Amino acid sequence: MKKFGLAYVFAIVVLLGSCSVPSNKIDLVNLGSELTSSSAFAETPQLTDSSIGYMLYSINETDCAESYFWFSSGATAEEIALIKASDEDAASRVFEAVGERVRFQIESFEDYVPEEVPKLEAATMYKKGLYVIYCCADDNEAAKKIIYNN
Amino acid sequence: MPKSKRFLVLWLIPAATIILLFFVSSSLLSGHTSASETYSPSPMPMDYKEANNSVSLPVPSARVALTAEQEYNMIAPSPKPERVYKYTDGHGTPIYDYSPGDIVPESESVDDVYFSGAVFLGDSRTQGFQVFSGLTTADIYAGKSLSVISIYTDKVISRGNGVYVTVMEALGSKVYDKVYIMLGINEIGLEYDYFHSLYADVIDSIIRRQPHADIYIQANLPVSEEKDKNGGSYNNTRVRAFNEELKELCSEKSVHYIDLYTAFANEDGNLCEGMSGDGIHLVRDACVIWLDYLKTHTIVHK
Repeated sequence: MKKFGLAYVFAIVVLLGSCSVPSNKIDLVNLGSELTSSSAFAETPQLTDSSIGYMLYSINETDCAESYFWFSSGATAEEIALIKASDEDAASRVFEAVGERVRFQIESFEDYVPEEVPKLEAATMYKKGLYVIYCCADDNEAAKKIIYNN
Repeated sequence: MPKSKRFLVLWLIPAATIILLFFVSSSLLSGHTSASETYSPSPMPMDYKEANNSVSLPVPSARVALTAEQEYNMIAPSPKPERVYKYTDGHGTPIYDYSPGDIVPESESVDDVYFSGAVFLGDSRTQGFQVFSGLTTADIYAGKSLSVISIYTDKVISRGNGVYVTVMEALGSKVYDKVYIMLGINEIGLEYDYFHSLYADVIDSIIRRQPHADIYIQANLPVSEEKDKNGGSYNNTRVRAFNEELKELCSEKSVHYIDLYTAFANEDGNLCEGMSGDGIHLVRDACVIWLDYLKTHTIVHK
């Protein structure tokens, strides 16, 4: 009887642990897949080697525990960066680097394809715990919905 | 002189002069101080944009820009080196059937390590190559709308922490054994002779910075049929004419010409189907083909 009681309590604790506390984890692979298969992009960005992303975003590789970068061919500013940082400080550094990338992109496109600048200005850029998410899409509202649902 | 007048001359006038001098000097000093206080560099990239704007050279008025020679003399006042080609027999006779200015012939394929001492310079199309070719062993200095003019002035290469430098500055910061260049599409509206002379300056500037590097000039890629018909100056007639200028330049400057145009053109001279979304920038698969072409078109030093 005592054993059943303990098992019952254990089951309740596990159940509460899994249900009542909201998860801070973001499935970056799933998020990337949802974004790139959506109609939010005029030109679907392509997944690239993370080393290219680190270089273009000036991010230190050791600051990232997990990262994925999608870029477009150069005709548009559309791109995605999904990063899980290695710790809180690293997350702040990555977030800052992403902000710098956006500023740089805005300046690059101003004299090149100015129509892309509003996209960059309305791009999604946010940090949640260790996660840093950046997405510049043709339809930024649609992309935002996908991101916030994850 | 009455006492009151003497007082005026001896005391009031000198006192007034001293007070006046005091106010004049203090106002000058305060003006200087406030200028110093208001000078605070704004965070990147705004300040480099402003700095860049102050020296940016719009294409039509670019003739007033510093020449490459002047620009070079400002940063590296050393004698121009003589280029020596290792693939001659030591008496200037080529030891195999290739001389600079010829189209670089097909060769045995090299692997990615071959590019570990290479740097690629170019515009947004080279940025696409950087992102999609899969090549990670080379340095790539490229910027959107980069041209034979803005290569000296646009601070497009990030050095981290919000610091940006020009492509030429970046190029001078490290020794390379190969330099690959593709420029021309952003200045496609220029007169041919003018493009020729500006590109010649760029090659000279690169040679000065990398005197021992093999320099590969990549032909401009064709644009799509749609772009050719409706893109104004962005047409393949002009691209071909520019490439002829480049081929001539390669002969003049003893550098190597890579005929990427032919590699990517269909029988009508347009960019092959499926290679680009917008008619100019290459898609991922095309960038992989681009890299494969470079791997099979190298100059081997014997």
